[in-house]
Amino acid sequence: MDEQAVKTEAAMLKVSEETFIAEYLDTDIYLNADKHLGIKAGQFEMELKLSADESELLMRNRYSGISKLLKDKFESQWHKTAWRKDGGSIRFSLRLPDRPVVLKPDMVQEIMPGQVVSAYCSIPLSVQLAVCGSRLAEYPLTVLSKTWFGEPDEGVSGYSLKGQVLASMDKLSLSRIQAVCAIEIENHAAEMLRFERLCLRTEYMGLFRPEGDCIPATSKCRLIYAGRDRMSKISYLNPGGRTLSPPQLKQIQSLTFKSFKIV
Amino acid sequence: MLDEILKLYNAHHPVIHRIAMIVLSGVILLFILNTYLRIWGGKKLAPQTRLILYKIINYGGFIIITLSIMYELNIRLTALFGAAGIAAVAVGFAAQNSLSNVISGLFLLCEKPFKIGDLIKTEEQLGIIYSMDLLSVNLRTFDNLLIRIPNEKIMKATFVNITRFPIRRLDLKINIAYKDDVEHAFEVLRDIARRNPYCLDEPEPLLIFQGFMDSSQEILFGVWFEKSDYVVLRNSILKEVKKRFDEEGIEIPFPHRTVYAGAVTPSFPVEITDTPKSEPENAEIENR
Repeated sequence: MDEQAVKTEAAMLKVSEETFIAEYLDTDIYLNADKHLGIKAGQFEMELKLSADESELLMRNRYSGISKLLKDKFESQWHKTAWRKDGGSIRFSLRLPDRPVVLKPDMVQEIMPGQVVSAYCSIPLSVQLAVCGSRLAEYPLTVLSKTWFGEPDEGVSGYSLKGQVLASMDKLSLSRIQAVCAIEIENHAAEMLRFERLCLRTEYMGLFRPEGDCIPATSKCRLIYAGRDRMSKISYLNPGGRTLSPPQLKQIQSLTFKSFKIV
Repeated sequence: MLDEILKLYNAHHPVIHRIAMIVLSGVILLFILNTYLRIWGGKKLAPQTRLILYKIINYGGFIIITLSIMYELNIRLTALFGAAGIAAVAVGFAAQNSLSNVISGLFLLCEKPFKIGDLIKTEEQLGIIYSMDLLSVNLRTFDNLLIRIPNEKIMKATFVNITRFPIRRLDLKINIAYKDDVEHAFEVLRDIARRNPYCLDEPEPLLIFQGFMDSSQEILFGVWFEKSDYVVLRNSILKEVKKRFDEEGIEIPFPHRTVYAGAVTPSFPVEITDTPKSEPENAEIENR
């Protein structure tokens, strides 16, 4: 296998992040025994090639700039899947993380009773790989640490995002492998809302590409805070533009979740 | 022989027809109920609830079918019930333990302290709940043995459900030498937890200075993790603690004792010499 890998290096078509985002997303990519791909986007690197008889697709993925422990967890050695000789293709598409994200602002946020506040954050994206029309796997483009939102006996597992909640979208440092998430928080309670964590349920959010914008956007998130001991009402609104991925779960009626970690 | 059977059939054919109908309709009804339970219950019910409903339906169904057949055969059920009452007293004395197990099983099902697939630790055993039956709970150990624990025993015993909640904390007692700075060790341990992908960053790692031990300062280091990550977290975090402590020059001391004769008396003169050469076997005897 190592020998094969060395041969691949020689014939590999290296695809940079810019090229990958511009030309390789949401489009069918056809491979042959001579066309090997090496993709890099964010921390994620992937190599794909066909076996000599073009009956199998071989792939492996790596991550740059992570510790050995993380490498053990996220990286894979060469593995293979069946490939259809005539008309077989692969397709990459952007996806939101497969778990909720927990935003951890730099400082405690306060919202007065009756106040409506708009905020923006960026959410690192994953990429989904489909082979011959079937979804094969999802890979995060940025490795995020896991966290827990809620009490130890009742809560939700999610990814932690630090220092990313800003009042203006212009201040966000964005890349094309992240999505902008607009959040609107309404304080309907009689007391001040002081929170240090905010949980966003990405499973109910879609991913879109607004017209004339190269940065993807998630569904707009509207959170209504009703009080310390009450669940927040949540609704997700379509920001417009082309749909990159629909929500994993359909929002049938208004959702209520614990969304704030109150100070 | 055939004639006799035909005569018997002609004499009793209405009863035979009714019995056949009872058996057929009973079996079909049980089949439909079981199928419905498998399909509907497979999505909506917990495995143990499904199991108990399955047993109630089948045992109950077969008892009703049997009693109906007996009724059709003109067997006096009142007399049978009377006899059954007496028999029940006798059987009750003989089957005290079994009845106790059945009732304990029902309490366990209502209370739901664990479900199939949970990892539990009793006073003697550690294993995954394999099945919950009428009389017993079966555990599958990690070395793939099946342990049967009577319901009554598990009802009375204290046990720990290790996987009841989605996250757990791994507590490690870590000892460092008296020469080392505890605050420095805290910083290193926090960093280890932060870098480990299996540690949750929230709830935050627990660090408690436990106190002064015989040969060391003891620290309690608790990290939170998702219950499925136990083995990989335990292995990685212990290896990482040892590696980082070595890098940072923090000593994990082995138990040792200093012999001190007090300030008033001078200390014992100790001289370290080479390993003594072996002496003849009788030398000790001669010295005596």
